[in-house]
Amino acid sequence: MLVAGTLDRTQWSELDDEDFAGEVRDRLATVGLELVGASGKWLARPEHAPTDDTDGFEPAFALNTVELAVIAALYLHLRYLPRNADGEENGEEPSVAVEELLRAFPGYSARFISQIVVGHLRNAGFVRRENDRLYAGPYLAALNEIEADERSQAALGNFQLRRYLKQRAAELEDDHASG
Amino acid sequence: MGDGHHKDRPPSGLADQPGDTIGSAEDSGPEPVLRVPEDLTPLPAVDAAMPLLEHFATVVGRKRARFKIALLKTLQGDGAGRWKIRRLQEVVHWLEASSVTDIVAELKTVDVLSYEQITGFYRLTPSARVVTALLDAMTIPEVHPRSLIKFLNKAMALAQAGGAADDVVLRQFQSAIAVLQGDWDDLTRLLDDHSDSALLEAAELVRIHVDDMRELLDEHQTFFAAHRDRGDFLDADQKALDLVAKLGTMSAEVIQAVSGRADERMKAGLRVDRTDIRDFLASREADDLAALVAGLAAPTPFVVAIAPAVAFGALAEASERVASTPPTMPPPIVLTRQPPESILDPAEVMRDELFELDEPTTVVELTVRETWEESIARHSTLLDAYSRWTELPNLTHEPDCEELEESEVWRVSKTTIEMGA
Repeated sequence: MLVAGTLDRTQWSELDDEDFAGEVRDRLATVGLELVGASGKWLARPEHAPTDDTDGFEPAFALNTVELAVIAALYLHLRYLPRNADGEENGEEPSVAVEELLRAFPGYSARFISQIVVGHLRNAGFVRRENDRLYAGPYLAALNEIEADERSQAALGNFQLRRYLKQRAAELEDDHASG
Repeated sequence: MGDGHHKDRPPSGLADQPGDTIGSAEDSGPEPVLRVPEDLTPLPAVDAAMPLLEHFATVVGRKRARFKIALLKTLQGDGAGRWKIRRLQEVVHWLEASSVTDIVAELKTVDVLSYEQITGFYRLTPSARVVTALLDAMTIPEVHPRSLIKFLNKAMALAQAGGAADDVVLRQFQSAIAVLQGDWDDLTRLLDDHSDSALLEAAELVRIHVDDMRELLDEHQTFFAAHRDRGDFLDADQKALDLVAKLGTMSAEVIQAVSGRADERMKAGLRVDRTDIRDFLASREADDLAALVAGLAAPTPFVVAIAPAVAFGALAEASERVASTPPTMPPPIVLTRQPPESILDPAEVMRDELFELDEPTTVVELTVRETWEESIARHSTLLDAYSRWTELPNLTHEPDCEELEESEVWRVSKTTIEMGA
């Protein structure tokens, strides 16, 4: 079941038993998978993300650059922002409008992002779509949050810093031009 | 302007010195053509200064330049103001005495060294002392960008000390301002670059330039105050002050921010909200965004996700299926033995027919019937009978054949069957 989909934690209390879960982990480990509990689900994922430069190995289902970029955008909206922004915690499950996601990829057609890429990621368990809103899927929740948050924080901090400095440079230009 | 204004005499010094490496490069090209009257160019001032500038050319631009410069540097460091040739050879101890004599003679020829006939002393001429001092100061591998404004500051001081025109000093000052303007352009351009180290390095350089410019303004305060009536001086002074102010502020903020010493005001601006996320995502290429989760977002082990509810439903349906079984065996019964059906042997039947013949009969009459199959069957049975039994009616063969019309058999050898006596 774990290599064919995800399991609801409420329906699989056996996996909360350490002995049972340990045996499942051992069995999954023999095929390079690990057991992860995330977002109310049990799921199996590869212990190491396959890379393109693995000699002689061509993963049948690999995430391409655009899919990874969409995952990053979804992570920032659905996982990072609720934890790091004031006033974002309102008790509801974090979600983002499809239109909001499309803004991040102006160079791509809306159909490609919203149908093909998001559809692929939905099948892969990274995102859930209800009407025109996107919710975090179990595989998005299963990302290593410490590492992902550190990278996000560094990138966002750098972006904000430079935006702030550019704004200050413009202010200084204006001040001295008018003065 | 179209006819141009030529210099009516070749420039002295650089261009007319045979073997001059600097002058020779200029001599190889066509004579430059002026677009304005010469009085409106810097050329008259250059011509006036040419006797002094020639000294640079004669020292630097000729053969054995490195030996001459080194010799002059050595003499400048010697406390004496005049030397006899033997003393010169002692002071320049790092060169063979004969070589010292040769180079000294050469420098004497171009008036860098003067020679007193009566006393036999050599002296550095006043111009040569200035040239030597400048050459000594310039004996560095390169002018580092950090020192640029400091150099220009000292050049301004030198120009003033030498009694140069005010415009000369203004041009040097404008050159220093241009350095600061370039710093501002570089710094704002690097804000769009992703390299923190390059940005920090640029900000550190800017800070040094700003400090040097402040020093320049202080040192030449009197000079600028004396030229308040000139608009170009005031404009340059104002521009320099503006650049010093905004570059000073900007470089300090960049250094604070990039080196992690951001103040509270800046830190307060770094709280993240949805607008920040939106702007950040819109400003990044897909490759940059993908790098945020590269190696972290592993693909699922399955190609298509199956909803657990669907999977369990399918499992339940499969569990309820009943495997098919063979029908039950009937109860055992006693079989009734029946004798096999009696089948007459055709050969025996034929034999009986043969014995029942009461008159001579041909084989055709006995065996041939309407169809080919029946006729052949009876004929074969006849042969079978004769092959088994010996006491059968005689067969009399005749040479001709019988041809039949009402049967599928065409013709048969004529043979008569008749009982013996």
